[in-house]
Amino acid sequence: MKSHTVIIKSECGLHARPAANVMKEAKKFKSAVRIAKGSKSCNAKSLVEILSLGVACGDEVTLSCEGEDEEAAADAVKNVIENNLEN
Amino acid sequence: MIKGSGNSAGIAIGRAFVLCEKSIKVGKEQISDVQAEVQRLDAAVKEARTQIEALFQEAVAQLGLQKAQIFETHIELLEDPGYLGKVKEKILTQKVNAEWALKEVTDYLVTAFEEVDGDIIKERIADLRDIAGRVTRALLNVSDASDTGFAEFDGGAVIIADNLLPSQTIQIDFSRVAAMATQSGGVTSHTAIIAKAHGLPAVMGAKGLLSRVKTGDLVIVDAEAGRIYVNPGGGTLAEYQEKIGKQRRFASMLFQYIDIKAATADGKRILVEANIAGPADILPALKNGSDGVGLFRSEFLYMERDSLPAEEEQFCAYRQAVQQMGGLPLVIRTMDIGGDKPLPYMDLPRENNPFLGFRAIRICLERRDLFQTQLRAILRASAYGKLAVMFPMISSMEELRQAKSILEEVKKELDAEHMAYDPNISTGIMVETPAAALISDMLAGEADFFSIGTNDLIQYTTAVDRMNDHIAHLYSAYHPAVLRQIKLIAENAHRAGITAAVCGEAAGYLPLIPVLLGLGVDVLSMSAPLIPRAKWVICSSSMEDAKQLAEKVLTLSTAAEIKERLDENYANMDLSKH
Repeated sequence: MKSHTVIIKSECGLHARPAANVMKEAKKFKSAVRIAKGSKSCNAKSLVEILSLGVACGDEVTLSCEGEDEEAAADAVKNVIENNLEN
Repeated sequence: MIKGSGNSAGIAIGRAFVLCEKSIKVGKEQISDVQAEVQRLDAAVKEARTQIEALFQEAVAQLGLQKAQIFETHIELLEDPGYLGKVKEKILTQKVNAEWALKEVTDYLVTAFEEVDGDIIKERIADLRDIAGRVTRALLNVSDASDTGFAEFDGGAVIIADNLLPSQTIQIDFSRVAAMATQSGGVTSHTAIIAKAHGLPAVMGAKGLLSRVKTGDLVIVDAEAGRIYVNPGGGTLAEYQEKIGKQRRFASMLFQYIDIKAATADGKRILVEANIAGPADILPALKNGSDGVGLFRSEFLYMERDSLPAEEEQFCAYRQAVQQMGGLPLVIRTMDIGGDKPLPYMDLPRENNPFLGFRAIRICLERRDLFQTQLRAILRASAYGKLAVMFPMISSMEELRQAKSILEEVKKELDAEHMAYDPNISTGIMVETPAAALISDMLAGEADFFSIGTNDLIQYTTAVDRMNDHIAHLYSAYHPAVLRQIKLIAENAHRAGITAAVCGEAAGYLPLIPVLLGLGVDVLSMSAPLIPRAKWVICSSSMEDAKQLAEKVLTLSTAAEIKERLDENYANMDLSKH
């Protein structure tokens, strides 16, 4: 398993577009991609799960990926979360 | 009176038509054959998907692709493992009926979403409810909630709802709707999008609306002030009827300006053109009486994709655009992308200061492959109509010379390949940096036209990032430093015998237009809906007055004084016509 700790810098947290972008990036990989905040965690391939995690700006989340392409997945999704990229 | 957020699309009076969702009571049942229940859910989801796809097609036809995308969101939600996956899990583990499991999961998500701030996420609540309703109806085999009774309703209806669902709006005949009002939702809601598409006044987020209005009530929707009056008293009604009369007279007066070639009262012809972001915007521009396209933002070709657009794809888009213009001029601005609009496939460096960074022409001059591809496509399309090419973000003579020399190289390539193009294609620059403004006398000798990009010019002149809320108030088109530069740029253009256009948002600020004319601007390019108004302002001005006004405001030392003076001038203009 490969994991990263990421601090959310996007002003609106992981909502709406940023969440959709994370979901789309996660879906590109075969590995299971999960985002955890505190004791709650969610499947990053599900928009509604990311949204209901309620991640706000400044929150620290843990991204973990498990599967054959876990390295690439963890790096790519981390990049999207950190830089609030469009895809 | 009920307050909400208006969309500034005018005022309307009509009879209320309250749209309620047919509520379906769902009970909890224990299921023994859970596998069959999951299959029943799958079948209902499939049916819902078919329905949404049909609505999507209908929405594309009625509203265009962009506005229909809301239904794509619905399909995405239907496929979301965190939604229907959870419903299945509930059926399997708790052995309950699909309807109940769906209701429970939807309620849970709605509660979770409601705890999160922000308008955009609230819209997902409307989407979830819409989908849940659709799947439930498919499970119970009841018809779509389309039987709203609206068919029997007379014209001039004011649609009232909690928050209009996309599947409801697609079934409404908007030719008989005068306005819309909703109890929840905000200015980014689906209701707001639909209202904009149909040009209807709408007030959103009017708390307590549904408890105070019923079908048939007389309703005033004031989308300017964000107010709704239900069964108003005679005084209010008369006041609003007068306002609406004025609004109508103004609109029909403006309508006449669509076909008029704008010229000042003393005969100076001013071209009024449109800013567009893609070929789809050309028809609306022409319908509003545009004299051409003064700014065609080519970025759309580069966004939302995984690789650079090939020459052939760009050529087709430009050719299609110029052919639609029917001989009117079209100015294509070359790629204006940078650190603020990153493209994942281009691997641009992240920058601390993207607006002062590697962007627009700076990228093009370094990534010549990319620039040459775009120039080849533009040149090839120039064989099909009146095309001009414009370079953004020029800040030095070297950049203009390099860009032009690459253009010449590309022309030679096309000659060698016996490809048709317009050898005299007009080649201009955006003047949007103070550096370019200050050397505009020299640049004018080597460019075929200037187009003043006021958005960036203001930003770079005042050193204000207008997206930064803390300092946004410092960003002003009325700043004397901005007006002085426009004067300088226009004078230098005319001295060299070339035209000066303004294609920033300032071109559409009606009170500012007389000053722009007075400063010597020849062409105004703006978003299409503003064109008739701008023409009216031009036709109501004279160059003599405009020059005097410009001279006068150039003596004022603050943006606030200038704005006040121009607003006053504009108000007088307005009064003299009505």
